[in-house]
Amino acid sequence: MSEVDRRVFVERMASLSATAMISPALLGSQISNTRLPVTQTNGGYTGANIKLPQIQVRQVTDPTELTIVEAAILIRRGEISPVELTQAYLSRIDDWEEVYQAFNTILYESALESARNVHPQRDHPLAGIPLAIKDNFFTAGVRTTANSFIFEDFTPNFDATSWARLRDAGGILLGKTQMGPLATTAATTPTGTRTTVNAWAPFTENVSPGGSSSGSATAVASRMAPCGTGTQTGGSITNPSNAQGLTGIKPTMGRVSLHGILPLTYTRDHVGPLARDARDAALMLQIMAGPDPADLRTLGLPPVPDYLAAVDISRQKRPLRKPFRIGVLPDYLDEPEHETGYFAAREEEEEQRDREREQRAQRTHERNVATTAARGEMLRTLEELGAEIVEVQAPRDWTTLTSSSFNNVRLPERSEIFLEYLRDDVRQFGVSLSPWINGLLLPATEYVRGQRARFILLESILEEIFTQCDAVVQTAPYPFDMVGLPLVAFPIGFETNSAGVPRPIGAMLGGTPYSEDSLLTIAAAYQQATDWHLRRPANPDHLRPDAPSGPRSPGRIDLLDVMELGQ
Amino acid sequence: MVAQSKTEREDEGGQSTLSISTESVRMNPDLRNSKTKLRQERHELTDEELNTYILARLQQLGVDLSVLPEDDGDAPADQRRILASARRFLRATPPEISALELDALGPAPVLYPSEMSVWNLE
Repeated sequence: MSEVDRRVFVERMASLSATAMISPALLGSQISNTRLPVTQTNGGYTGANIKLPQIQVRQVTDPTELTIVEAAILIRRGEISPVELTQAYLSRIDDWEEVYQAFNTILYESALESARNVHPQRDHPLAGIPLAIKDNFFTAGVRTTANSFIFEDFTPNFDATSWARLRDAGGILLGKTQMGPLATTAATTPTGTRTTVNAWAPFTENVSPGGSSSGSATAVASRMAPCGTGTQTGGSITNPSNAQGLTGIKPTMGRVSLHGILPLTYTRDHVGPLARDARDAALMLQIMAGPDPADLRTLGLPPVPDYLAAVDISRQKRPLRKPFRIGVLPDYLDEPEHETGYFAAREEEEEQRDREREQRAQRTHERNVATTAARGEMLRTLEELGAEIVEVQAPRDWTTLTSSSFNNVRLPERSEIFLEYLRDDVRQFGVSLSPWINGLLLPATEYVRGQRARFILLESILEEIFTQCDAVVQTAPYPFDMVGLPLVAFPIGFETNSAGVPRPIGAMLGGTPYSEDSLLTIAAAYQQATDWHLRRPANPDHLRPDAPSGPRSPGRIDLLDVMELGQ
Repeated sequence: MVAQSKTEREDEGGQSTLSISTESVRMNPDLRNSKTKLRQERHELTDEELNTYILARLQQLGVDLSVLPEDDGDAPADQRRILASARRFLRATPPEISALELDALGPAPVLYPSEMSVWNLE
């Protein structure tokens, strides 16, 4: 047995032992305060090797404009204190949270107390940085609800590994963010009342804030937090990042521990940051990534690269010159169709709902036209930066293996995880019940065939796409989510027609397994040449001076929308 | 996924676009015919028959939908919409997955394909 094989074998055995110790507490029993695993781990994170990049900090009048790297540098220099920074964010929360509704828990006192106790050290790269954490991350002593009836009174007694690492790096828990119930769809209450709005169009109901991590996205975009965390099973990091002008990274399966994350699936849940720019995303991922004995999916993988080095391109004129080949699928720049056929195929009893969807589709079409133009500009910019743009063909089985039916193979996993709750009372699932019921109905034969198909899909992507390029543009997150490949999302422009106010347009790039460093390099190079990532939404009173000062009237999401549009 | 769903429907219309590139996977013409047959069969299944199947499966698992209101569009969930969603799911997802023919000696099921791809590296 080679040294590498021996190391992998030993790590796997250790992980299996760790899992065996915690599994009786989790499997087959309902999660409550007394039945939860008590494994407290940060996966061995020390932060000793993470050094802040030395960059020139922009001059800003409001500290909430700073990126986390900029803020951390100023804190070390003594030019701003952690208390001042935290207070600045709490002040914006006081002013605007009633409109944005990005948080479901705000930790005013404990955040300030943590800020007062910060002593910046070399191995605490986030010392004094407040963070918005999605409410499906276990946070010791702080309610963790996943916006669900099931966990509405649940308080974990330990931290999720990824949050523990951020905490040990000096991060301050500013609050827990709104999310789709149990991470299913855009942020709503368990009964389907919309909560979080898009920070760029807070008074326009038809403008989505993104997927289930939209609370974190809105908090960061609206400058109520400098950075946030999210989870992605079907687009919930990359979609809200694109919707709100942020840089988000959905890492490869296993790169970041899922220990202490309320699960939606075993095989497709991913954890990652939603950040202001690629450098912040790199710093967050550097801290969150790495092996964790409590999650065997993180073991036996390639070493975590130096993501901060990957985004350090400030002195390079053409930072993407070889070896970066960026693949473009044939329809990426096609004029989008105005979809109607899908709706026409629906049952008669839903005609009214379908008409409403048609109207939404019309607005979406206008936005798609602007998106196509922005994509063309992005490719031209990347080419100027030295990248080689190559047209790649989608694998011939792409349409079949990435269809909604094969995407649905994930559903039995959530149904199995929550079977006891389904037996107890299906009303606990509120508006998100439908995919859980449907997951119970997929026969095991089809589930197994679907799992075989996933590996075939990955092989075809690796053999037919990534032999021609190093990263490939994507128009939807699902194919890469299905097989666990990494995605980076970043802003590439704006349009105003669909909502009457400027809204960000985003792009997504996918890469090979564990190539997050390459994806971050591309995003960082693009952001060196553009300023889309520096733009911030106007405050609500500038967008609508006549808006009532009280809470806006919320809309609702329908149960059937959760099945079709959810994770 | 809306656009993809539409494309799937177009592809299912007797075209050969469902052919699979990997040697271990193939869409057997006979199976494609039988898939059409499957589609015909599922049209023959009435709502009532599917409801019986759904409710029997849920009863076997001990999951009770009767605690929901029968038909209340204002409720977060009701039996009518849950069953409608389940019927649509059963008419589309299992037939489409089972219609994909895989070689018996083809790849084994893999829960974590990206990880498997690096675990297999020398």
